[in-house]
Amino acid sequence: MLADRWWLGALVGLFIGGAFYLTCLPAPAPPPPPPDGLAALLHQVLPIWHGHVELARTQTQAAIDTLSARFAAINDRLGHSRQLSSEPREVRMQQLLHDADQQLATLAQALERILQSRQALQGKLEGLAAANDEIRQLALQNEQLAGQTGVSDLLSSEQSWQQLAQRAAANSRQIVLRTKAARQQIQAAVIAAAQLPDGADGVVENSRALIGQVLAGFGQAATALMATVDQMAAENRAVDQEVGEILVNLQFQDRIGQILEQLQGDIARLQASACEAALPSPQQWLAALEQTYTTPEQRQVHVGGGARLTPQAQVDFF
Amino acid sequence: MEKSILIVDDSFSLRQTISIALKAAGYDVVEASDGREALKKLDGRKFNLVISDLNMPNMDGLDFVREMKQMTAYRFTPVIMVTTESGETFKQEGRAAGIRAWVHKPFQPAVLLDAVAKLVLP
Repeated sequence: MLADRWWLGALVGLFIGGAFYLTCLPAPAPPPPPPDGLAALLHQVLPIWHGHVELARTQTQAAIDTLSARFAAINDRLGHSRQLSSEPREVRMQQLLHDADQQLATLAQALERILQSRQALQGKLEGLAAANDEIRQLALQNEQLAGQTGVSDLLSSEQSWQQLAQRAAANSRQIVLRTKAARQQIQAAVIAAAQLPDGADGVVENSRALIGQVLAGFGQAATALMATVDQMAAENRAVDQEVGEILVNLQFQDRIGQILEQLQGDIARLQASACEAALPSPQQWLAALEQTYTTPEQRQVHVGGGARLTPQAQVDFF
Repeated sequence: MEKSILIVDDSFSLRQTISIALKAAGYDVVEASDGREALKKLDGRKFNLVISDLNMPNMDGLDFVREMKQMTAYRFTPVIMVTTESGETFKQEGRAAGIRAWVHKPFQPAVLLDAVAKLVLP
């Protein structure tokens, strides 16, 4: 009976051997699943979305880096400006004004002393002139008296002649006294006048030196102030440039917002389309996405380019 | 009297950016956040210039300029378009609508001020 079933044993053996042979062979790669619409679409769209996210990330990073650097530069410049207008400089200016005030007060006192000496001398000279007038007057009276003692009057009355002689003698004594006093006044005036030029010369020299010092101090202060003003103006210009750069980089918010908004729109479109029976082809989808781009770098990303900012002319006039 | 400029942009930061540059140059500034709001600002007062964005909600820059040019008081008011859009088709449409200059974002404030100085009405 077994002999009748020999073919069955051969068949089982063949089956086991074949199975053993098959398990020893390398497994063949599973065939790719037939691409359904969604998978094919994602295969093409996701790298572009990735590129746009990278573009937004790169632009954000670059703008923030630039803004940080500009703010740091402005901070440095403001610190420098604060140093330029710092307290020691103000204190030096106050000291300069105080010194100038004191020096000029000394000068004013010296000039006042000269003025007083001049007034004293003038008083002496006026007194001298008055004495001179009195002497001249007395001399004139004596001349008149001498005239009366002339031809007719001399012999007319002995009494009157004696009176005239007494008056002439009195006048002569007055003249002598006045002349003595005048001589003393002249000596005093000469002494005062002799003292005045020496003092005045010294005051003039000192005044010249003091005024020179004060002017030199103000000159140095003015030069320092001008240098500070120039530095402040240079700092102002530099800060203006930094602010200009900040204003440029703040505008990236608009670009980045636009890129992310378009990306959100495309994600929402895919979500809506995924529920539909027939998806558009990847080519149709990408063409529609490309229509939403506004910047050259988005178009670069779309064709597989890098997320690099394209320089372009800033203004076109029509 | 200061020259008055209308800024139309949906981005607050962009309006601020342009406003800072213009005010520093001595211009008076009025702001609107889209074309529809900008049309309400065109109430008869004089504007020496208009600066507008292109892509905005409610009413975009091109539609706004087309409507503005229909208004007698503003027919000759010059318009500068400030936008990220660099496509030639849009520029041609802008030119046909009466726009006088197309400034690309991001721009240097000095470049915008130069364009403003060239176009602003006396």
